[in-house]
This record gives sequence, structure tokens and C-alpha cells, in this order.
Amino acid sequence: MRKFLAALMLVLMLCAVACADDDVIKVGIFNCLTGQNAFGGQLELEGTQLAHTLNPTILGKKVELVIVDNKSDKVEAANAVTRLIENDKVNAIIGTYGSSLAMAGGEVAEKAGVPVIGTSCTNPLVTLDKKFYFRACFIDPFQGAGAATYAFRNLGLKRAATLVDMSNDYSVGLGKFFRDSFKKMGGEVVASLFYQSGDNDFTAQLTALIDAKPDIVFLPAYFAEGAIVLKQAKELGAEFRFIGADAMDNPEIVTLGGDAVEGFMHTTFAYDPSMPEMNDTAKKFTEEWNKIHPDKAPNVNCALGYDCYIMLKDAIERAGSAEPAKIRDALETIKDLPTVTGMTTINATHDAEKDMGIVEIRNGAKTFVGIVVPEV
Amino acid sequence: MRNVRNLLLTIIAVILFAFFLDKAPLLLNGYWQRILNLIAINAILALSLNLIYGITGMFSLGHAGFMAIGAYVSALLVLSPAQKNSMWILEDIYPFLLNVNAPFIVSIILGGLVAAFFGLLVALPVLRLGGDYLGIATLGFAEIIRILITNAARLTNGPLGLKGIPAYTTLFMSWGCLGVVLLCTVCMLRSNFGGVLRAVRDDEVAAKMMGINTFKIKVIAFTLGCFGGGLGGALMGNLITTIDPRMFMITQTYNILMIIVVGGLGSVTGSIIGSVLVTTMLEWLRFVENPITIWSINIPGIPGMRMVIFSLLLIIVIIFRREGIMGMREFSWNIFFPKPKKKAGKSERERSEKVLELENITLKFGGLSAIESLSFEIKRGEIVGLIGPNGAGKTSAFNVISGFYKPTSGTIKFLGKPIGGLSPDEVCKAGMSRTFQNIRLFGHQTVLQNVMIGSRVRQNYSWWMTLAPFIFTDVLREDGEVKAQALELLGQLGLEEFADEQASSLPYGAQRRLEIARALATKPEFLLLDEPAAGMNPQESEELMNFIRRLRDEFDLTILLIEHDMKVVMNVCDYIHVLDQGVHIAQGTPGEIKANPRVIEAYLGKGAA
Amino acid sequence: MNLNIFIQHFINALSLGSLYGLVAVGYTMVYGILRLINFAHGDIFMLGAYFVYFATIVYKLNWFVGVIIAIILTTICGLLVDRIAYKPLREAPRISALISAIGVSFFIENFAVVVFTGMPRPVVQPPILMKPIEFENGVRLIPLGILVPVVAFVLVGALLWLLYRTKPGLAMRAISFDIETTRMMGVSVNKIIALAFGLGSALAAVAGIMWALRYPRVEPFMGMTPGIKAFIAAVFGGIGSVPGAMIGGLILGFVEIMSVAFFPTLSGYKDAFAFLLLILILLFRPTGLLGEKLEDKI
Repeated sequence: MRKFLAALMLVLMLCAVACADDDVIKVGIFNCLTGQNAFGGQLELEGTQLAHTLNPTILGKKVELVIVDNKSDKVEAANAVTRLIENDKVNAIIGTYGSSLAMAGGEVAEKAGVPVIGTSCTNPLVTLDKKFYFRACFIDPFQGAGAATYAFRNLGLKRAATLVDMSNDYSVGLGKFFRDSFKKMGGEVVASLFYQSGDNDFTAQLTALIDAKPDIVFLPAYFAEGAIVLKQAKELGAEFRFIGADAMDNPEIVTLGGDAVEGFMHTTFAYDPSMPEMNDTAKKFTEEWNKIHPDKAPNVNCALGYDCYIMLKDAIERAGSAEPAKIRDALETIKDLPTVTGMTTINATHDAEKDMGIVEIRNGAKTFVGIVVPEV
Repeated sequence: MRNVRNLLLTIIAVILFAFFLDKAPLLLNGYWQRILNLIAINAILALSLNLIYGITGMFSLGHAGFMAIGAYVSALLVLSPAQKNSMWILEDIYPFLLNVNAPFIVSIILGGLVAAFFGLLVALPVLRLGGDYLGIATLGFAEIIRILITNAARLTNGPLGLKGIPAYTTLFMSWGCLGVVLLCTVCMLRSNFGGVLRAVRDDEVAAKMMGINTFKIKVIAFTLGCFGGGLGGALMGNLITTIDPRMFMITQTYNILMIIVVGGLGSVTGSIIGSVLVTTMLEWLRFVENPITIWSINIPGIPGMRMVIFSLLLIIVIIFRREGIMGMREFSWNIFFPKPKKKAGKSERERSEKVLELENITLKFGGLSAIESLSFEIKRGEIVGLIGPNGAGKTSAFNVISGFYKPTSGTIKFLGKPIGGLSPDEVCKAGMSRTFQNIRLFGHQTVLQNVMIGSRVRQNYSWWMTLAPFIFTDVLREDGEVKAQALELLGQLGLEEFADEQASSLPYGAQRRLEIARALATKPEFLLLDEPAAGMNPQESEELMNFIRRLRDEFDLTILLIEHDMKVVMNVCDYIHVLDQGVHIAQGTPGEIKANPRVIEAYLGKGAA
Repeated sequence: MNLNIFIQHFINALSLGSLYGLVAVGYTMVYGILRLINFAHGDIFMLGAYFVYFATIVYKLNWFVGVIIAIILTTICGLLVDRIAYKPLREAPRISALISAIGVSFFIENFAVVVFTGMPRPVVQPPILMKPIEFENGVRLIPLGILVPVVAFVLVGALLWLLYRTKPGLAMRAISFDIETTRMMGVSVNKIIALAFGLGSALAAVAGIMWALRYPRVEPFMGMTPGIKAFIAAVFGGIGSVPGAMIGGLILGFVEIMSVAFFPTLSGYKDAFAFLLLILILLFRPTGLLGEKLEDKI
């Protein structure tokens, strides 16, 4: 046993020594590949890997992806980023799904001065006071307002309610911003109910909602939970409509929810394989994705994973160098970059400014309805 | 001499380690420094849970909750007003919180103290529960704490969590805290109070009879453990720089539990080794998720393999080393040196003619009476026998006298004072001690420790002094005295050769004598012996008779004994009471009892006389 | 709240509670015999649901055939877990087996993430069970909502019959009372323990399948929350007692649903209510509702 361990250690050390190479740009990926958020992290990783396969070199240098799992755990997230920076000496980092994980990793990167591009960490706190954290996604207040605008202005609905995962920052944040903008526009919020991550039975909340008679219920849930909520709502004969947010964006929602998800809408990034008009980047992404994964359609997580790499590539090329500090400066000046999820501009708070799309499930398929401009 | 040597070695080791920490930024990269920090924090958490579970034997699954409290208290105190202002985007922060600030050290200590306060609140109702029920109740509290933190958004920023906590947890900070915690724990566990903690774990009933208020002891240990949990949580928050309620789920407690069991439950050294091993293992195993090239064969990395292998290793370690790496052993410098030999006071009290008076004692369980209006007296210096066939209620009478059962009616006076409502530990303090039918020693501790625990009730120092005995030297002096007395007692009972052996490894007869020695260590005036001759051969019971008489004479005792061996009873007792089915059917001198037809009838059935 | 809505909540609670109860019975059986909190029980439950997913959706078998195969496979997994991770530790301190159980739980979850991926999977719901029945007063229920409690009660009834009317049941109860004496009586203790594990795992499989029918998705961590909740339910009822586990499950289901029903604004505190009630019950009845009072023998 002891000998075996010693041998393993030796192999590991040799590995670490052999990895020092100057003509390589190292891009670290820290994401939740295991643990509770694995479903999201795995999709984003596949998106980034696709972008890497299509663009294996930047500035004529070979790009190497170093993938580290953060187990959907804060302590591990900080460890993972430290490892990428200290052991693997990466030039830049991409990740992660889950804002709390991004916050834990971000602190480490900030101190080391290595730029990070967040995939789908939408909590406003992630980039707050951070010089080195950027993200490819817009933030919760924007999206909450988007859903409210669409419900109030486009659909003309006046009575809304929210059903929120109390233990999830994303859900709670969106719920609050939805309520605020809905009220500001003149609508009425008739009920606001909660559940906890891990719950499966929402019948009590739904029955209470049915009692409150809203026109629309905002459901900022993850798609797997959301599908169950929609199913139970149908069982109980709920007549109001539901609107969700980008975490509901997954083709699996139709397989999970069946006919219960028909008519469900959600805000998302301006990309869906069903979009009638795509920009070239989105077209290329969709085609290539379908080649590699013929059995599953891409969703926004895959797209955002892809976009992060595109943003990084653009920044490195404009900086003309893979030095972390220079990449950072170039990331700050990304403007109207064509990405899968539309034109990306990085604003002063390092968040991506991009269009927000509305998707509706029609005839058992995700259908891209159009763009919505939130009244913030 | 040996102690001076060990102290010197310890100081040298600490200095060397501090030197290493000072130079760590040169030797290790940031990644390994972070792991080193985590090791220290995990060790603090493990030590504190080990104090609760491993040492004192309370199954707690609530550690994550106390960590959360510590982490939040500390974070709220070290965050700047500007940061707080920008972070509370869901609801406004309570205005008073905005400007509350404290230095880091103060914040982590307060974190620990607030956690300890909540621990105390939880302990008072919950520690009456035993075993797994305690585990689930503490788990429940931890979850409630987490839900409250999630909901109290004005105080804690709810599920969004806090970020930008200054990274105050440096290597010196984390290891310094561990050093202090370790020093206090080791000092406490080495004192006689530490023995008491383990005694509560090994046998709560016997501990009560040694005059120990076991509930109080458990509350103290639990609260101290919670302090450690809060401190660890606070350090963790300041290392990760961001916290949210989901960090503190049950899996966090599982992780700490895993560390202490792998290291060895009840071993301080084990907790340290466990945290080093588990923390580094989890990080080191990351290589299995990277692509590996062995002899030009490329194995792609599989995300998740690390945890699969880790959990397998955990199962294997537990199956092949179930007691953990250290078991209950501790590290000592003595393992590097050959074993040397070693060497070895008196007491007074007041007088009262009647030692025990029972008046109309009745004890009922449901509808059945175990004892029916039992009355008798025992005078100073007597050896009295309590006999009767099986189920006569003898042990029940013992349990009533020693405070384990409350009599349904009747009064008991001990040394002229009523003791009817007292608990066993209070009865013991009043000057009574007993042994048990099925020997109840603190099996995992040495013979000497067993006797010393018996003396704890006669010591004056308070438990908190044991955290820093070098300041409160009373601890060292009193423990020294108690040790000398214990050794003397062992000598008197012919047990000195076993002093350093584990109590459970003693031969049967010696265990019986040890139980008596432990009872004598509480300095009783009145001793209850429950079947002292059980399991002895004729020669041994012959010796026992002499031993009991010697006990009375040398220790100035009054003795009440239950015994089935009639030869012992008739030879050693001055007076005998006979019970049958809870009824007091006869009393008298041995000669009278032998001739009493009712006694013979009770033993042999009707018509035998 | 009017009566109709209350009835609706009541039906929902009954359905959720009986599912908790069914999982709790598995905990309680193993605990009653080995005094082991089988933390891997929730993960066995997850395996049961996955096996149905594979049988019905991936291999497109008939639903009933799929369910039977899933129960058999889950039972085998449960027995394997016992054989590999718990049996070597029968004589060890209880905490060792507990840590081994945590290890098994970690292993199954992560193995599932690696092999099945983290993506939630759909479940086939036979349409006949899903057609809503609407009553005049507005109460709606689906046949599945009735089927779940019925299956739960029938299974628990069958288990009670087995425990109290058959030889192996007698042996099981004897083991939980005193394992050494039972061994002396010539009972093959290991076989009986294996039987208990097998039954517990089969029940977990049924619970997993019913759960996945009611809340139709399977994912690697789906056993965690129901596992903890069912464990609480088992303690509620008095761990070791089969009827107690069922009652505990029902109480938990009712507390969760009714607390939201009566105090919708406090729905964020739902789980806190459940835990608070648990602690209160334990304070007044330290061994749960139907648990045997354990007198410390002196």
C-alpha cells in the first residue's frame, strides 16, 4: 500500500514538472461538474469545450484547457481556483454556474490578478468591487424586470404572484426584482410564496396560489423543479400562466414536464436553436453542436460556456498577449462582440449587456418569441 | 524530569513549526498554503466535535449550525459599512448593524461565544435525550438555525450570502487558534475533569454515583464544543471570504464526523491526523480527474471520479481500521523513550449515630410494587446484609437509597437529613457511595483514572480552570493530591500493580475491588455493595469476607450489602434484613435469621420449613 | 380558507406523508435490527427510481415489467451494500458503521453523477393514473394521489403481517431485542439481517418508484432530502417501530403542507416548523411517539 502511494505521488510530481510550457495559453475552467449543480456545470463545460475544439489556437499559440471541478461547494470552489492559478499557472479562467461558487473563486483570482469570465452567475454581488471578474450573462435585477415587463406590457396582465426557492440566491433575487418592477409599472402582486431547494411537493403553495387568483405566476426556479411545479399546477387545475427565467431554459423541460409545460414562458438570453434569425456565431455554434451531440439540443448554458471562450479569444487577440493583466484590460473594453447569445458589451460593472429573449413552449417545443426590453 | 523533557520537546516542536509557518510563503505556493489553512480550521472543528462526541459521548449532528453562527457573527463584525451598504440588495440592513465593527480577533472570539450561547440554549432542553435521538434533535436545531439565517434577510442578507469578507485568516491566525484550542483541550483532558468527561461517556450511571452531576458536565462539554464550532466557522468565513447559508448543510457536519472517526474517536491526536489526511486527500485525489498519460496511453479525466475514489477509500479505512487511525490513543513523546518507574495523605469527618433511616418506603412501577413500606435503620459502623430470593426488590431498594429511583412514598434519612428527592450525584456528595451488581467501570480508562474520577467530587477547582492550568495552578496541585491519594488507595486494596492498565482488561476479582476503590475515592461514610461475591470461587469469597471487615475498620465505614452467598452474609454481617417480593419479612442477627421459618419458606417454598 | 381548499390540502398531505412514511419504514427496519442509521437509504431509493427510468425509457420495457426489474435490482444493490460495507462492521462500534454508511452514500451519489450524469431524467407516468377527477365542489385529485397512500398502507400492512405472523418476522423482532440470545437459539442471524436489508431496500425501491411517479424526475441527489426527511419521520414515530415510521411520515407530510396552507406568508419557514415539532415531541416523549421506553438497567 505504502509503496503504491509513493509511486502515485511520484507520477503526480512528474506530471506537474512536465507541464511547464511557454508556447501554450492555459485556460482554467472551474465549474460544478459534480454535486447538486452538476447538470448546469456539465452543460457549460461542453459549450466551452466545443469553442475550444473550433478555435484550438489563439495568437498562433496552442490553447490548453485545464478543467477543475468545484463539487458545487464554496470551499472547493476557492481551492479549485487557487489550484488553477498556483499549480497550473493559467492565463485566464472561465466559470462557473452558481453565483455563490463564483464569489468564493473570485476572491482568489482577484488577489492573484487573473481574469475570470463567469458563465451564468447572475447574482449582482459576483462582480461587485471586483477588478478581475467579468461575466457573459446579464444580472438578476435586469432579468426580473424583463419578466415583469413582458407580463405587464406585452401580455397585459395585471395580477401577478411569485413562487420562489427561499434557499436559493438566484430565485430570491429574481423574485424580488420581479415584484418591484411589476408594482412600479402599476401591476398588483397578490401573493408571494416560498419553497426550499430539494422540495418536491408544491401542492400546498399551488393551492394557496389558486386561491389568490393571479393572472400570472413568476417562477424563477431551476428547470427540473420548475417542470414538477408546472405538472402539479396542471393536476390541481390551475388556470393562471407561468413565466420563468433563464434557469428554466433547457430542452429537457419538455420531456420532464410533458404537456403541463405547454404555454409556459421564460426570459432567457437571446439564443435558442428555434430562433428564426441567427447571427453567424450562433449558426456556427448550433451546427457544430448538433454534429457532436446529435441527441441533445443546445441550451443557453452551452451557449454561455461557448461565449466565454469567444470573449476570451477576442480579448487576447486585441491585447496581443496572453498576460493576465492585459487580458483583463481587453475584457473591460469588449464592445458589440458577436456571440452566440447576441451582441455582447461589457459595462462598467463588468456585466454583459445583451438582449433578453422570451421563449415559450408551443406544441411541445421551445419557441423563440422575440426580444424584450426591460423597463428597469 | 520526564515532564520537563516532554515540555521542552513540545516547545521546540512548536518553535520549529512556527518557523516553518513563517517561511511557508517561500516554501509553498498559495494553493498549498490554502490547504494548510484548511487543515488547521478542520482540526479546530474536529477537536470541538470530538470533545462533544468522542470524549463526552453525545451524538451531535448539529455542528454545521454552530459554524454558521460563528461565521455570520464574525463576518458582520469585520465587514466595512460601505460593503454592507452595497450588499443588502434584497432588503435594507438593520441600521444598527451598519456601523457595528470589531477587530478580527474580537470578531472570531465573539463568533465562538455567540455560537456557545446558542449551544447552551440548545443543550439545556435537548441534552436530556440520549443516543440517536440527541443526534436528530441537534440536526434539527442546526437546520432551524440555517432556515432562520436564510429568512432573516435584514440581518444576514438571506440566501444571497455575504462576500468580500477580508481574508484575515492567515496561516499564523489559523494555526495560532488551533494551538490555543489544542493547548486548552489537552490541559483539560489531562486534568481530573477530563477523566470525568470520559467517565460520563463510558458509564453515565456509575459517574452519577461518583457524585458527578452528569447533566451539568454534558452541558459544559457541549457548550465548549459549540464555541469551537463557532470559532472554526468564523475562521472559515474569513478564509473563503464569502459565506451563505447553503455552506452549512448537514454534509458539512458529515465531513467533520468523518475526520474524527477516521482519526480515532476520542483521540485529540486522531482529530489532528484525521484533518490532515482528509483535507489533503480530497485535494490530492484531483489528479484522477485530469487526463493522465501512462506509457503513451491517454486516459481522459472523468469529473466526479475523485469523490468516487474518496468514498471508497473512506469505506475501506473504516472496514479495516474500525477504531480509526489512533483509536483512543494519544501522541506522547514517551513513545521515543524507554519507560521509567514511579512512586506514591488522610481524612476526617463528623459523627452521627444513625447513618440510614428508612421509613415506610414504597416503590411502584405502574401497578406493581417493587417495595412495600420498607422501614429499617442502620447504625454507624455496622455491616448490614440485605438478602432475599430473586425479584425480592433488593436492588430496587439500593436504587432508592442511592437516588436513582424516587420512592413512590416514604422518607429516607441519611446522617439525619432527608435525601428523598436528591439525585445520585447529590447523594454521593452527602457521603454515600455504591458498587453495581454488573460491574460498571469506566472501561476505556486506566485503573488510576477510574479512582481519580471518584475523587473529583471532593475537589474544589472549577472546570474552566482546567483550560489553563498553568495560570490556575490549583488544578495541578489538587490533581497531584488526588493522584497521590488514589495511588495510596490502590495500594491499600492491592491494586497498585495495575495502576496504568485499562480497567476493562483487569481480572474479574480485581475489577470488583477497583469498583470498591473508586467508590472509596469519593470518601463516603456509607458504602452500598451490590453482590460483591458474585462470580467468586470459595477461596476468593473467603478473602472477600476479610476484605469487607478490613474496609469497615480502615476506612471507618458503615456498609450495607446485598449478597446471595449465604456463607459470606452469615459470616460478615452484624445484622440482616430479609425481603421477599418487596415485603420486609424478617430482620435479626445472623443466628436469628438462620432459624426464622419465614425466611426458609421464602427461599425454599412453602412447606420446606 | 374554505372547506374545499382544506380538503384539497388534506389529500395532498396524505399523499406526501405516506411517501415519507414508506421511506421511513426502510430506515426503521434496519435501525430496529442493527441500531444503524442507514444514511445510504435515500441513495438506494434514488437507485430504484433510476432503474425504472432505464427500464422504461431507455430500454422501453413495459411499465410493470420495468417496475419489477427495478425492485429486484435495487434489492440486490441493498444486499450488496450490506454485505460489503456493513457486515464486516457488525461487531464494531456503531459509529464505524455509521461512517461507513456515509461513505456508501457519498459513493452512490458520485457514482451516479459519473455514470448517469447530473442531468435530471424524465419518468413515464401511465396516463391512466394521471387523469384528474374533478368533484362538484372544486376538489381535484388524480388517481395517483390515491394510489400512493393505498400502496403505502398495503405494504406497511404486509410488513406488519410478516413481522408479527411469520417465523422470519419473529426472528427479526427477536434480533432487535437481543442479537446474542437469538443467535444461541439457532437462528441464522446473518440471513435474517440480510432479509431485513433486502426488504428495506425493496421498500426503498417501491418508495423511489412511487416518488418518481408523483414527482416525475430522477437525478443523482434526489434521495438526499427525502432521505433526511424520512429519517426525521422515523424518529418522530419512534425509531425501530414500523407503524411509528408510517405515522411519523404522515405527521411530517401534514406539517409541511398545512403550515404552508395556514400561513402562506411564512412558507419560507416550512421546514423549521417540522423540525421544531420534532424537537418538542422528543422533549415530551424522548423515544418518539411509538418508541419503546428504554430503561437504563442499573
